[in-house]
Order: sequence, then C-alpha cells, then structure tokens
Amino acid sequence: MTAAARRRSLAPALVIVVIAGAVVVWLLRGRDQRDDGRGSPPAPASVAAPSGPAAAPPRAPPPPGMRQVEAPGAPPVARLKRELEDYKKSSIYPHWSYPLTPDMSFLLRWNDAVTGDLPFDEAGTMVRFDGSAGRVFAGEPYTAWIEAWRTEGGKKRSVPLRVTRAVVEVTSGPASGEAFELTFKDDGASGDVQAGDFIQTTRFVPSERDELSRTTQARIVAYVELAGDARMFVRDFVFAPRPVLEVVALRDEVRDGSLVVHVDCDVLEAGVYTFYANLFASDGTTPIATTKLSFPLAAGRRTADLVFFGKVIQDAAIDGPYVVKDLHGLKREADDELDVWWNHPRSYQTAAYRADQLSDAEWDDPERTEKISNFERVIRELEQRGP
Amino acid sequence: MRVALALVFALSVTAVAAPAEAANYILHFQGRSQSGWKTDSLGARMTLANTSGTTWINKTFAFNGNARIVSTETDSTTNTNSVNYAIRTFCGTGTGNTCIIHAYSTGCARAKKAIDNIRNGVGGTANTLSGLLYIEGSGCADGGTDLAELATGKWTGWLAKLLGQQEAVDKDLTRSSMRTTFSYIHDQVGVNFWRVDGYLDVCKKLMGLFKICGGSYIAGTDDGVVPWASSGGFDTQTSRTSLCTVSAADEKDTSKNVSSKYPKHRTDTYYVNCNGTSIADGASWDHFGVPDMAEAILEADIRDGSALYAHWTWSDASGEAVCTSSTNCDNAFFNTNNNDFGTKYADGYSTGAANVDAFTSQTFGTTGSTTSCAGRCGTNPGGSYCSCAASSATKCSDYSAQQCAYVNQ
Repeated sequence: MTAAARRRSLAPALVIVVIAGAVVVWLLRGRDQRDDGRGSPPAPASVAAPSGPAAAPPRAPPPPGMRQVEAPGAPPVARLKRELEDYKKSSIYPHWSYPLTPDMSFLLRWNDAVTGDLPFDEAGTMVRFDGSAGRVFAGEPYTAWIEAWRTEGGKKRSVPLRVTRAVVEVTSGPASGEAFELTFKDDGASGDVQAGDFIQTTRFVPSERDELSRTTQARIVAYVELAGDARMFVRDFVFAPRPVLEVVALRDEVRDGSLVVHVDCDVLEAGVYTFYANLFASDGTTPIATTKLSFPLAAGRRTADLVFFGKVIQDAAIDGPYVVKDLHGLKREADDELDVWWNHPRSYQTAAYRADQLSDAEWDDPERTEKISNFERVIRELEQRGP
Repeated sequence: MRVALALVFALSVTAVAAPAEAANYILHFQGRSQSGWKTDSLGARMTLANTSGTTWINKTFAFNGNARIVSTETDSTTNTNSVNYAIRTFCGTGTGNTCIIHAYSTGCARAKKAIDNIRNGVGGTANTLSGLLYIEGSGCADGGTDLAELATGKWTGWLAKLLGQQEAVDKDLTRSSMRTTFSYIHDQVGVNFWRVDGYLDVCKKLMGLFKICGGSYIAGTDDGVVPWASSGGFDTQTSRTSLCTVSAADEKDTSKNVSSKYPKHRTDTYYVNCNGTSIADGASWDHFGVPDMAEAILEADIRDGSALYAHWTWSDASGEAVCTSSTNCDNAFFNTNNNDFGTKYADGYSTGAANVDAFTSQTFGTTGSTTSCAGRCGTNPGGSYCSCAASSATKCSDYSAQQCAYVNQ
C-alpha cells in the first residue's frame, strides 16, 4: 500500500476518532463540573503540573532504604512529549543513512582490532594481545602479537615473556573448541616486525585452515609465562572462511533526491546481505554520510542500490564528485553464528553532483509517521488519565 | 450515566480505530546469571515500574541470560520468551502496540541484536518497529567488559567469587566480540537509547584476608562489572571517566548523534549526572543496583516525573571512615551473605555483612596481604588505571578524589 493510499484508508477512522474524542471530552467535562460542586472545570492534564521546582508540591522524604529519582521540574508526561520532539528532530534523516562525522570511529576505523591493556600481576606488569584486524577476509593473513611491559619512572619498559602454548579455539558453529596450535616467535619473520623486541608474533591465513571452514568466529588462546608466573589471554577475531560476494562494478545516479550507488556484484551464496558504505568529499577524507542497508539476494549477478540520503549531503553543503569508501558487509544467517563478512577495499568516485542537486526534504516514511502517531496516542492516553 | 456513556463510546471507538488488543508495554530484558527479571530469593530486587493507573503493561520474559548472544533466547521468532519475539510482538509495526524497553546488562546486546535482525529481515519478516518509542539501558554490557577477558584466565576462580561461575555468554562479552563480531547491532536502534550507570564498585573479601573488586580490573570508571565505555554507549573501548562525551546538555541534544557514541546512544542526563550520580539525590549505584533505579526512571516517565526505588549495593552495610592518615584507608571488605550472583547483596537497610575486619590497609600498599588494600583504592594490579596514583604522596587526597569511601559503603 502506498503512503497516499494508506492515508486515504485511515481518513475515515481519523474522523471517527476526532469526533469520538470530542464527545468523550464533553461527557467527562460535564461529570467533573458536577462532582466538584464548584463548577470550575479541572485544568487539562497537559498543563496541570507547571514546570519548575518552585511550583511542585513538597514531597515526603523517601522511606529508609529507598531512594528517589526525579527529573527536576518535569511535569507528568513530560518525558514522552520530549521523546516525541526528540524523535521528530532526530528522524529528519533515516536511521540507515545519516551524517558521518570524524569522531565516528566505529564507521571510519571499522576494521581495527579492538584491544585493551590487561593486568598480568599485581606488580604493575601489563599485557597487550593485539591483532592486525577485527575481521579477516577470505584469503587474507591474520597477524597477532603479544607483549608485556612495566612502567618505571614514567617510561614503558618491555618485559620478556614466553608463550608456552597457543591454540586457535573456535567459538561459533557446530564444532566449537580447540582447532589447532600456533607458534609465537620474536624472530623478525612471519609478521614479526623486529627480532628481539620482546613482542611475540604469529601469523596464519584462517580461510586456508580446514579446521575453520565451518565457522566464522574464533579466538587465539595464549598461555603466557612471565617471571615464573603464568596467565592465559585471549584474542578474539572474526574471519570469512570463503568469499560470499564479489563487487564487480559501481555506478551512481541521483534518484528521488538521494545519491544512489548501484553495486553490481556476483553473489556466490544466496542470503540476506547487509551493506555498509561511507561517503566522503572529493578529497577522500572529509566525511559526509554513511549508509547501511540489507537486501535478500539470490545467487548470481545482482545489483544492490546503496542510498545516501539526499538531505544529509545537501546539509553538508559539499559539492561532488564524492568518494565512496569502506564498502563492506556481511551475509546474514538465520543462525548468524555463521555470518560471513565481505569487503571491497577499493574506493569509487561518483559524478560531480552539486550538493543542491540533492533533496532537502526530511525523511518521509511510514515508519516515521506511524511512530509519531504512536507517540501522540500514548501521550493523549496519559493526559486523559489526569494528574 | 454520562460516565457510562463516555466509557461505552470510547471503548467502541477504540475498537474501530486500533487493532485488537493494542496496548502499551514496557519490556524488561534481564542480564547474565538471570533466568527472569528478578531472581533473588526474596524477590525484592529489580522491582518493576509501578504502572497502576496508566495504560502501560509490564512484560517480563523467562530466558536464560547466560546463553550466547546468538541463541534462541535472543533471536527466535517463535519462542514467546525470546527477545526477538517480544520486540516483534509488542513493538512491531502493524500490531498497534507501543513499547518502551528496559534492557539491563547483557540484555542491552540482546535487544540491539534482535532489533537489527528484525529491521533487516534476518530470520523472519522485516519490520520497522514503529511501536518502539525509546530504550532505557542500565549497566549495559553491549560494549563488552574487561572482566570477560580475564574470566577465561587464571583469575577465573577469583572472578567467580564476584560474578558466579563462567558462563557461555562470557565469550560474547569480551570487548572485541561486542564491538567487532557484533559491530552491526549498534547502529540501527532508530530511537533514543538512554543509558544510566553508577560508579560503585563490586567487591568481595577472600579468605578473610583481602578483597577483590571488579573495578580494579576494568580500565576507566565502571560499575564494578562493566566499564563506562560500554554502559555509556561509547563507540570504542577507550577508557572513560565520564558518562558524557562533552556535557549533560550535549547528551540531550537530539538534533545530532552524541560524538564518540553509537548513533542515538545517550546518557540519560535528565536523571543521571555525567559522573554517575542521581540528579535527585546524588546517589550512585553498582552494577547490581542500577536496574532498580532505571525502573524508577520508567515509572517516573509514565507517571508523575518522580518515583522511589530500593537502593541495592553489593557491598558492606558499614561505611568506612574517610582516610585521615596513610595507614587507615579502605579496610578490607567482608560479606558472608551470598545468594545472588554468587554472593549476596546488602540492600541498604538489612544487614549485609557479618563484620568489617579491623585490618588497616594503606592505599599505596601492594595487594594480597592484611596490610594491603587489594581494592579499587590501592596500587592496582595494572598501575595505569587505578584510582590512587601509585606515585602520589597524598593518598588521602586520592582516596577522597576517587570516592573510595563508596567501595565499602
């Protein structure tokens, strides 16, 4: 059903609701006037509790062991009214395409390994177990390294450690558990940057290992010995055991006020595919917009239309050509322990559109209008409840 | 008569205007170690928001909070206790329902995972969830926790004292897993995901000698189990000492996303300060006490802007004296009443601890002895993210500045 048709079908119901509301208000208003005996109608709930702490009645102190939450100065239903206004403001762009800003690490540095320092002992020795990427794509090697240090006199001093045992453990799929052993070395080879720097390194290609062919999530478990003490550390990683989608070509156009990038691709396995992409100015570094969309795709040559919402680009006021980067995504499984990630590491330049060729219109979708309608209904119900 | 007429008329029109059984729901998704919304023996914790006199209905779900994030507990479209089923049913477009979600701890990741699956048509028909109004998250572990990385190591035994035995979901609760494997769940909630958390630590005394505190093993400020980098909704694991990126006002500015946070993730600075305290009375919370406060927020939201809650802490009933010299800070913790999350809560008005040992512990002492702190306010195991500066000569100032008194509150 189109939005217009939906509006037409709802029109009679809306008329009924409006008339009914008037009747109910009239009936209840009469009751209140009669019951209070003073003939003064009560203030509508929506304005019954004026804001401001000074106007609020004094509250009894909470009983022992109890605490109180309070939004200072907030009248009843204030939160929901505010949420409605918030939603109206924040949904001018769709949730699947919005402004990309330099602080959005999760989109701009989307494949960095997530790593933190961990304590080894109570003498201040720290360990860092790092990796070359968050996701390892089909055919790519994965490098992981582990180092320890202490901070003395404000300076980091590396501490020698020994990896007594290391194993890849499968953490998803039908055959979870230890898969194969690894060797960590500090010899300046096989991914190790410098021999003798106390950083122990290992490297392997996940998609080449038969033991990992039926899974997509694993971790390296490393048993570390340092100054006679031993600890175990883990390094999670995600990998693609096989390619599932290959991008063949990209094209672009402005359609319905938005920038549409057509991604022609060979789909190697049918399924629901989620696509991520970022849009930059012609310098390739100034972020403008991001998009995330999913499509059910059958196997074979298919096209996915990635939409960068027009108002996002219009509001950025940056003319093209634009650069599309960070094109990647995942094949979603109903049992998505086995989601398979894919990527397209090359960038793509669009035609030289002007920003004002894109639409300035706010997102107008049934999801938005229905949510706003739902908010309004709930607020109306709470206000009718009265103070 | 007029009232009766009004009711009959209103009911009849409602039946015409909205789908049958359309209603307003508050969904509650529990966390790790919980099979339902409240699991303590007394049934007193995690009291649901009082919805009486409103059109709102509380809904809780019996799923295993220890199950992996990818599981029927999260994703099933047919299991009526699944998070996915719940959100489809009570928030879905076409149902006529509206919903608010309160997600606690691991429940935050389950809710976001289910929402992403539903929006993208994974494992079922796609739905835009137009009934979902907003989400309140308490102690959210959807950014992972350092403890999950330690829980697999030699310290498993220690941490089990704090968290209970290792569970399947721990493999998903590492920072890497939550932010990489599940990176796709964070960016399409589509509505405000308000977040609340506190800074009280979660501690336990071991062997009558020293105590361990979860916060000592977590970078930055935390609630004893989850770092603020996670519970605050930040988009990297970088340690945080504020729940806000810039300011309380910035968190409320819905004309844009909060910088360095996942889209629409915001600290609920209408109720909570950026330093993890209540705006109403300055209280703070540990990981196990914060969901009650969030329930009160929801109650305040749908009722009169104010609500009461029981202030639970996993700690000693007695507070420790504020540090006055280098030798009297932060006595060891003792709590013998354990029946929840592997230990028992002191609830703030019942006795939670048998005693507080008289061991004095210098804030600059090493851990593991009767003269050490071994907790949040000592020379911490890592040296780089402890509360008290190891090189500082003014330990009492550290103690005060880092609010160490709350460790044993």
